[in-house]
Amino acid sequence: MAFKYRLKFAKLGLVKFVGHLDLLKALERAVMRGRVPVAFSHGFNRHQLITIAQPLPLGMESVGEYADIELARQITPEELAERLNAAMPSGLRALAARQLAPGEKNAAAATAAAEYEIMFEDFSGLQERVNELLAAEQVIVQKKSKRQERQADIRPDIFKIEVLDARRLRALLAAGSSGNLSPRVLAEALARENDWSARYRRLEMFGKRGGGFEAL
Amino acid sequence: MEIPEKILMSVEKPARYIGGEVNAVEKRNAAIRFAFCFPDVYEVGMSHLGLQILYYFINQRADTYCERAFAPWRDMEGVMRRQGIPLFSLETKEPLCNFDFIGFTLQYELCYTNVLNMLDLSGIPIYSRARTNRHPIICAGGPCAYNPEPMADFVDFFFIGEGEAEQGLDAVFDRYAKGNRREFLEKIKDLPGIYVPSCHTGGTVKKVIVRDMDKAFTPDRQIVPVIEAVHDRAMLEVFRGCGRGCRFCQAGFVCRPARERSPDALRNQAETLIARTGYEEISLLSLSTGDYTGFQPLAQVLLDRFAGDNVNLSLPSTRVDAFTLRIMEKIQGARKSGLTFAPEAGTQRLRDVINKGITEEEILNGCGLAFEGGWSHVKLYFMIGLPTETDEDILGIADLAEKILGVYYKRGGKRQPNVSVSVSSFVPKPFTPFQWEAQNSCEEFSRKQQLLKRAIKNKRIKYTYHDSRMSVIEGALARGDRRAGQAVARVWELGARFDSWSEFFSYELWERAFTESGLAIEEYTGGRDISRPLPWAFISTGVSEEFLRSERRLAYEGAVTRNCGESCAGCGADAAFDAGGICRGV
Ligand code: SF4
Repeated sequence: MAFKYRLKFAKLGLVKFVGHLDLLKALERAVMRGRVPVAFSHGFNRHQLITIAQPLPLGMESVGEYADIELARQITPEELAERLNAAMPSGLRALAARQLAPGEKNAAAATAAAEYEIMFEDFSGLQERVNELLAAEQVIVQKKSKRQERQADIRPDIFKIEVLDARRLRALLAAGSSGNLSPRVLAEALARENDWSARYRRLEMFGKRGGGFEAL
Repeated sequence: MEIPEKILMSVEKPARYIGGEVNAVEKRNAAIRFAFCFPDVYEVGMSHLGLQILYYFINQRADTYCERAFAPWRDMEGVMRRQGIPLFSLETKEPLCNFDFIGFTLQYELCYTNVLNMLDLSGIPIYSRARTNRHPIICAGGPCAYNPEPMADFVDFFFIGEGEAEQGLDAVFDRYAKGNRREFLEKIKDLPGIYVPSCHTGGTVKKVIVRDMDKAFTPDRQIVPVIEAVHDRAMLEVFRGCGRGCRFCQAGFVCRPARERSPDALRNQAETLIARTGYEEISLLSLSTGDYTGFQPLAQVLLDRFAGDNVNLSLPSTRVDAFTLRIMEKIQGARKSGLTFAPEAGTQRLRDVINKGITEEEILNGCGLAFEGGWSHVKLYFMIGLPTETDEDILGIADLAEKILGVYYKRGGKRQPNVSVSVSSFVPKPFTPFQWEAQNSCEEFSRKQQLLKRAIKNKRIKYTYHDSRMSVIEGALARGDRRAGQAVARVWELGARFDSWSEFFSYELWERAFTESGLAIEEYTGGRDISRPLPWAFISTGVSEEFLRSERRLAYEGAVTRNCGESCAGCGADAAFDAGGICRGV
């Protein structure tokens, strides 16, 4: 019998410079220190049954990270969050937890969109530029992969952009296996030739629900 | 100090510089600030048990705050220099120049340029004589401090021995007052284990050690690194020192006598370490863990206790017998990573010379047992350039590897066996019976490496060897005198950093630095006149020079000396430490 939980957590401050695999290790060790009754895989290399919904790019903060964790016995979601918070390294914080419904998709598979806040160091005419971009039928960018550079239209991956003030905006972008847009690519596209130095924070991650989105 | 984010975004593995790890100490208003510096990159330094011990030992004092700093990787150094950012501590990001003490641990000679570089990045003059009262006091300890001379122009005082000992570092902090470095150095110069090069007027500096390992300070936690360290697991030190007496091994001689911790103490420590770190693996550390008196029951107890919690045990497998194999079978991944032996030399004759108490029969039997148990991978460690070595000894390495393969096939092994042969270059070290020996030249090492390469014909034997030019520089520094420090300063000026990393090491640069300092590398790597005093003769490890001479004689005769557990060879270490009786056998 497996007890599956979904954990929402924050990654704030300098810990944002800890990459995906090291973050997973840090979570696993917090699980051990916090004496969370985690379930282990069977077989040759036993490991904890934890998966993070989606890697967060190095250097980004987040108040909306998700991980699925399987326990060997049932505890309340509140206890799971409390146990973790007593043991997390500085900058990591469990925000909420819930037990998954039977048959519910895992976090990675469910992820369809993510919301980010982008804080530019400097940007003149942000609102106009956003309007222009949203009005465009196509937004072509150079996407660099390991071997090649290719052109891609990112417009379909931009679901919503809301300008907060002269330098800040909030964007809902495609995320997950069927389309993924990094907020850095959006920032660069917005800034065109200009300096696009900015800080980023992931705010929330969503799955599809009916015709819209619902937080994981 | 705030580290600009843009900088961290621009370097490789920025988490090396952020601190904030689980179990890192936070402290306010400590009067004395101590920066523990490991002169290598974060992932290497954080793997080091000594750092973990001293960090918590010093932080026990309410009046002292021990923080950490590591050598910034070359990309980070570049950014720091361009932007004028001084080297800072991980805990509070305080520039190192504002500390009271900066303490370096000298674990290997090829880190010396990083020491100078870290001082320079802190805005502190590299030479002690150029520092003033507003600069921190620079100290150093660790295995390389047993020959302090090459670093003596740069370090204000050395600590020889184990800092957490009763007569250790506490006595130094107790005497500290801000403001006058001269006065302070005068005050501490005669303390046990302290060597102040600028005040030294002769006399012997005797190392300080922990007498009772169960009563000594032992940390109940470890800082858990934020990025994967080279050794990233709970470290349980089962004993210190070693009674084997391998004649090439500096650690074995300078850390005498061997002192064990009790199984109860170890079990308790394992319990708290795991609870407070969340590590998934415990490793049993010492110079030769299989020699621990209660090895079998301890391993069994730890396995039984932690198996249910999915905590793995890692064992250095130098002694392979039926029991160890049974234990190893229960250890995750052990079969995959293979068994490790360190015969060090290819023939019994040479193994007797170096007093490596392992016979061919033992190795072959051990391998046989392992192959029967389903292992198919064996790793062998050897050294070349050992005293009295002939080409026959080199070829003996290939023979031994072949014989092991033979054992595999004879036992009906069905998979493809793998025997890896890893060969390093012998470096004569101070305080060993070989401290007077000549080291092979780079050319001689290469010739021997190639000789062995040609002799290994079987494709199932994987042969690797280390860059012997690094070993030659290591050798020159290990037995260096005060003047050798000039070459260190010069090579650092020429840009040498991270010399223990083969991608950065440049023999040509070192050669040039020695020449420009009016020195020759061969002068240091050559044989020493046994009747003349050595540059490190004023340091006492407790092992008498007379004993080292007699061990040298025995080496030439090919006569072995039994290990301390069997009978006392009279090295002097027991008598050197007060009332005696530290050694088990005595
Ligand atoms: S005094 Fe004897 S038992 Fe003690 S370390 Fe020396 S040789 Fe070994």
